[in-house]
Amino acid sequence: MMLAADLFKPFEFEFFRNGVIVATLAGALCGVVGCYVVLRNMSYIGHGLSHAIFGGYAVAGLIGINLFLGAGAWGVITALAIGGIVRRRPIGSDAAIGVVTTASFALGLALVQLYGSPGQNADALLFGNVLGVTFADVWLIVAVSIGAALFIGFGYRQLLFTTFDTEVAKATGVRTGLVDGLLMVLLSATVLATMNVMGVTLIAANLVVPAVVARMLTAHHRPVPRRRRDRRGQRFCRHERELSPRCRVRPDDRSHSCDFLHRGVRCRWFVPSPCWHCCARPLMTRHMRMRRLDTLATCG
Amino acid sequence: MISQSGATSKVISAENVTVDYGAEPVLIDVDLDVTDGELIGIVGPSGSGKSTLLKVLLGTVPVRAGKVDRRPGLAVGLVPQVEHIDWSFPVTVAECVGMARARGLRTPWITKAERAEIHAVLDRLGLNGLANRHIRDLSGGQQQRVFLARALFTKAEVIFLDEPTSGLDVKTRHEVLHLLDDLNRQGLTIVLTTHDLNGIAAHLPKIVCLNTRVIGAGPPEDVLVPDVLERTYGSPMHVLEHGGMRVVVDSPLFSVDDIGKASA
Ligand SMILES: Nc1ncnc2c1ncn2[C@@H]1O[C@H](COP(=O)(O)OP(=O)(O)OP(=O)(O)O)[C@@H](O)[C@H]1O
Ligand SMILES: [Mg+2]
Repeated sequence: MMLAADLFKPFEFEFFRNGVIVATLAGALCGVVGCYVVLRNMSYIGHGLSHAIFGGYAVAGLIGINLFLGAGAWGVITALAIGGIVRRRPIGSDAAIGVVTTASFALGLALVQLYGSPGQNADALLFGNVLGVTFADVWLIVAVSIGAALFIGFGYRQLLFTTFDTEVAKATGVRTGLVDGLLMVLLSATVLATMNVMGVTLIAANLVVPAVVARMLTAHHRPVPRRRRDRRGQRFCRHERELSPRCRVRPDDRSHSCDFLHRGVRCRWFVPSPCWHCCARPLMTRHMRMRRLDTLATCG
Repeated sequence: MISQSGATSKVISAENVTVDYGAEPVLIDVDLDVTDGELIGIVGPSGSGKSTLLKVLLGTVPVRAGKVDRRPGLAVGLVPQVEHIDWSFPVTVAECVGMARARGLRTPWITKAERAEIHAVLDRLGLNGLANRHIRDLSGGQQQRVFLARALFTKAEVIFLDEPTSGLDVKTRHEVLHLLDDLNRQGLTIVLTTHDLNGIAAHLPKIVCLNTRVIGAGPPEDVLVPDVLERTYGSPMHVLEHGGMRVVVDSPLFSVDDIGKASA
């Protein structure tokens, strides 16, 4: 009884309530946005963007505009630049992220060295402070969360289609450029809104880890692509079957070309009947090999 | 098999199209008209620009010169080359088909009506019972048909298939070909690319031989001739008659030994 009361005691303080709200929303937001980031092979962009936004702070401080707006605009531009480079140039998304964000970070550092820090110290940006969030932070993250919910809710199929198959989506009439751009804007808004709370390093983790865990947990995804390899074996065999209906290979004859088949022999462990010498052999477990020898006898 | 005579109308026409990806031209002065209800096969060696030509007709690749006209409001679908699909992407067959109806405001989930439609399309292509499988856990022929189902689900009037039979065995290849023929008879316009001259191209009513330029276009009798093939593929080929069909074979004068000697 006493314990429960103790547990709820901190909720009397506003800073604690704000912290809980913001941390919960930040976790949800990063988790959802992170799924798309990971599916696009851009896992490193969270890390990169949060560094790039540091450059935005420095520039905004220098010009004397609102730090927050400046950093936000900077983040959006960086994210769009990365998206644009990935779409137009034959450069991988990882390389594009590396080039653009480190350049932006370097610019920020140089400016801070030359003209001094624009207020916030670097520690606060790197590690954040969940107990120091203000009412404005809460509202910002609520707004970004609502924006994300609207965008993903209404644009779900466009987003899915563009992520899975940009070329076909474009051909079918989806405005893939717009979808990509909006996703990048959402991503930088997410980074910006959660930076004060979690800091640069935790954002990167929060974008990637939940998405990766989700991907490993979904029933749709099997980490070991066994069937595909099996199928390739099967395809090869079917082809061979037409050419050479007899099986001539002996288990000890490794030099012979692969025209061995399990003709119609089904085994519980290895249904698609792969070839003896070709693709499937290195994948067989000992059990399969034993079965194979059995079937060899029946074959002939 | 060939399109209905009379009121055939052009749905897509490419005129003097030249495409470069910022380097050497991949297509030069290509002319191609796709009329309603046609079934066209594009053949040519690897790197000859077949996929690029499909993308030009679809409108996803900018042309350097020439112009491409599409009938306004034309709905097109594309079945991509299997090598270009991310098979580890976590979607099921039903989701893969359903995602294609993406324009306008739609619910994130697949509605009941759409689900019924998806099942109808899958049934039509012989994929019933597979709606909740992961796309990777299918055979090669089934995977092809999933993407065909996706194109049909968007009510496409013209469907482009990029190498629909690569890596399929003879029986599955026949199934795909028959399916395409059926769809074509039902009024669908189809443009496909293939490397398989005997298995696919010889069965189609119209073939386009492409090697950066259009070398020949027309029915197999006109196009599958040694001269055109040699200019397309750059190596001598022979054409045999077999039960009224044309069969393309390598020149018998050309053996592995010759290649060895030539390179030595
Ligand atoms: N996005 C691209 N950027 C630059 N060059 C490209 C691009 N796509 C294709 N190419 C080049 O264009 C040429 C034609 O490619 P294309 O994919 O159209 O050939 P293809 O006939 O489909 O070949 P395959 O039979 O191997 O599929 C190739 O030389 C290729 O290198
Ligand atoms: Mg191609």
